[in-house]
Order: sequence, then structure tokens, then C-alpha cells
Amino acid sequence: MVMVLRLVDPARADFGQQLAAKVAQAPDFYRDAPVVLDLETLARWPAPPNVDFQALAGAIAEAGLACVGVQNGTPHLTQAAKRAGLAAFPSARPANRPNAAAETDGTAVAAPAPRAAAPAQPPPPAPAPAREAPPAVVQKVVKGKTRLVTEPVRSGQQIYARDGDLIVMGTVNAGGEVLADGNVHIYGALRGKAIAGASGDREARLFCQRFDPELVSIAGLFRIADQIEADLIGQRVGIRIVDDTLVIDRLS
Amino acid sequence: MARVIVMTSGKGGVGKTTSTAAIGTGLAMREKKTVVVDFDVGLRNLDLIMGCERRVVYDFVNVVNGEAKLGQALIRDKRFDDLYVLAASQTRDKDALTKEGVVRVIDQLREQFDYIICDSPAGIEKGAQLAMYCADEAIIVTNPEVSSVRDSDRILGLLGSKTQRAEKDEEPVKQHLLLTRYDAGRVARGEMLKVDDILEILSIPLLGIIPENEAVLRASNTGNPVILDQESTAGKAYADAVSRLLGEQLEHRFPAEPRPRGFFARLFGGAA
Repeated sequence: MVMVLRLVDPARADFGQQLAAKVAQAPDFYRDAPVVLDLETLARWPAPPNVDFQALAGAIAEAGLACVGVQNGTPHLTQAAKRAGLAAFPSARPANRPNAAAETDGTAVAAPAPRAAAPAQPPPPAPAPAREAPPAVVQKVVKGKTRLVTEPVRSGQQIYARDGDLIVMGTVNAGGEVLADGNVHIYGALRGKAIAGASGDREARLFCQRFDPELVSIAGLFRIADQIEADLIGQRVGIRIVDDTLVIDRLS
Repeated sequence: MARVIVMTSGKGGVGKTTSTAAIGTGLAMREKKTVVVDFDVGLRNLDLIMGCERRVVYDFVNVVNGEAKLGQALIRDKRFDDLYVLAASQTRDKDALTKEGVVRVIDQLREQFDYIICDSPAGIEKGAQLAMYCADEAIIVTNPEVSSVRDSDRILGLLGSKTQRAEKDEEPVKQHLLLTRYDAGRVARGEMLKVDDILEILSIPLLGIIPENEAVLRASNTGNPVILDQESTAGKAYADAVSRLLGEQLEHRFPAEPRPRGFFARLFGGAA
């Protein structure tokens, strides 16, 4: 899984603080995550600035992330990044993306001042409104080890299976939250929130033995309890994405 | 081996202090040397329910801060020689307690007592976390209603992560569910959650079901733990819970199935 960090103003002194604050929102999600710096905004400056990539990479490492490379830079910027030991990635942005001008980063604070950097949105642990599909690079989910949870997931607990599947043997109670980059299997009742494909894998699926959730989501698409047909409540269900919609199937 | 038991719930007003007083007294009646400790600094109530509010000189905070010796702060119950109270301070707040201080005092108590019952404040913040920190066992006090059940669920999660046992990766805190203010009639009418539903959500063993009973308020007001009123349903239910805590296998007598209410009971609306 790779996260994209859009660099808007390389000279901001509070870059590190902003980033640390973002990471603090979901430390588990961001821990040691690889980051690619997106230079598209800088490349559109009339005179692209000189950027101290070494210092930036240092600040990113300090926030608990790992800067691995850059993308969408001018040749000059990309060269500077390479000299700082960073890799140059090909542009991940398909030309016809509807939201290509993505400075209006939904998750970041809408500060009137230009932001130094806003981490490109990974689908957050507790998804907010339905959002665009994450950038292509984010969809490369590396399959990790399956995480097994044998205790009930209680109100206020959050369990995240990074890079892999999650199996919950008991119930997920109201106020509890389970997330996985891969599939989520719940062998008890689901009364809290369950999120599969947390970093954008649209192939991920969600299964549970007794369906009564607060929220279910796959790859950013979600439904809250109010949007779920009453006759599905209490049933065994499987959930997947079909044609950009969340489909909840009853399992016989 | 001393057993440190925290009485906790998350939600306020569910009956933690009443249950601490009743179960602590019940253990002392069974000749277990018992101390009840009030962790609700700033809102001390346990001494009232225990009927020793006029005898508090030094309190738990004084001992934690080294301003008084443990022996000076322990108040011996007038009814049972094996029962002691460690009152909370009314003039301080929860910040007056430190983790190190609490651990030191609880360890001292372990040397003298069989049972140390810690009455937790409501909430999930520092006060509640300190009350559970040293616990070997926890009694989760829950009312048969959704908000109480959810808060209990939250507390159960904290017991798995914020206690000394969790930090040291020892055997987890043993959990017991104590259902209080249970009204069989209201459950039958669907106004309260059923026992089975609560057990299904919380999935911990049931220590007892204490019926809603006017004897509880009467007991609190007179400073006599309700377990001393063995005529009352609540008193009997607490006695059963104490027996189970001591390892006896007892059927759950309460709730009785809601009896069909007779003509006069319906007419006068008296408690069944």
C-alpha cells in the first residue's frame, strides 16, 4: 500500500507538525506507511521552486512515515529528488480523472492559508462521505498475514488488519470497529462498524453471520444502518462491490 | 491470596456503590477479611452507604500521598470485625491519585486482607482506570438498558488493555456480570432488555441478578448495606451473588417469572 502526499508549498515550516497531526488521527493506519510525494502542484508553478527533498524526507520519517519517491514532477524537480535518494514514479493519474484538480482534499482541514501538504486521502478508518476511488497506486494491496481475533470486539475498540484479511470469531459490538485492507469475516454478530478494503481494494468482501451493523464499507463505499433494508437485519450476509455500488447478498 | 475486585460500569447511577457495600459486607459476614475502597474522589458516597461517614478522619488520598498511615485511615465497621472501609476524600479530585501511589496502597492492603473491593467512579477516565488498574477480578454492574450495556462493553474493553495484568501480559482480569435494578415485569413488557440478550452482547459469566427493590433506597438512606436486610429480594440476591463469588454453584433465583398480577395488585399498582 502506498500513500500519496501532495506537496503544495515546500517552504512551510509547520510541514512536520501538520503531518504528525494527521498521523496521530489513526496511528495504526499510518505506521511506517510508504509515501510518495506528488509534485504536480509545484510543477504548475510559473517557476518551480528549489525543494530540499532531503529535509522533507527527514520530516516525513519523523512523523512515522517513509518517503520512498516522487511523482508528477518537472524534470528539474525529479532530478533534485533523485539526488536526495528518492525514486521517481511514473504518474499514477489517469488523464481523464474527474477530480484531477484535487487540491480540494476532502479530509484535510480547509485552511484559508495555502497548505504545506495534505496527505492524499487514504480511505480513513471511519469513512466520511462516499468519495472518489483512491489513486491507482493505492489499489496495489499487498496481501499480508490474516489477522485472527478470538475475543469479542467491544465498544470503543478498533482492530485493523493491515495488508491482509481479518477474521473475528466473536461479535463486533455496537461502538466497536473492525477494518482490514483485505476481506473481513465475522463469525458472530456485527453490531458495530466493519470496513473491508480499507486502503482501496475494491475486490475486498465482507461477510458476517448476523448482520445488524452501524456501518459497513468496502473501499470507501459505505452504507449506514438507516440505508440497509430491514429484512437483511439478523441475516447471514456477504457484501461486495458491483458496478460502483455496495451489494449486500443474503447467504443461504 | 488476596483478591482485588473492582466494581465498575462506565455508566453512573447503576448501583456500583450499593453493590460494593452489599458484597463487601456479605464477604465479611462469611468471615472473609474485607476492605471496601472508595475510588470516587470528590464525590465520596461509600462511607454513607456503609454508615461510617461520621468516622472519617483520614482518607484514601491521604494514604496515597503519604500524609497518613494506612492503619490511620482504615475504618473498622461497627457490625463486623472483618470489615473495613477506606473512604475517598470529598475535598480533592481524581487528579489527587497517582498510579504509583494506588499500586503501593493496594499492595499494602493485599498483605492484610482476603478481599479488596474497589468502588470505581463512573466514566472511563483516570479515576475509573486507576480503580481497575490493580484488579484481579472485575464485577461489571449493568442495568438492563441499552446505554448501560454499551458502557459496560466499553469498560470490558478497557479491562483488557488498561490494567496491570494486561500491561504485564498476565492472565486477564476475571470478569463477572452483575445485573442490577432488574424489573421482571418491565422486561416482560419489552421495556427492558432480557437477561439472555445482555449475556449475548457482553458474553461474560453472570454473577447475579439484583431485582429492583425499594429496600435498596431504604438501606442507602440508613447506612445499612442492603444485604443485611435478608427479608428483601435484593438482600437475598446479593447474598447469592456473594456465594457465587466464593465459588458456590447456585441457581439464579431472580428474576422470578413475572407473576400474573392479581386484581388488587393491579388496582393499587404495588410492586409485585
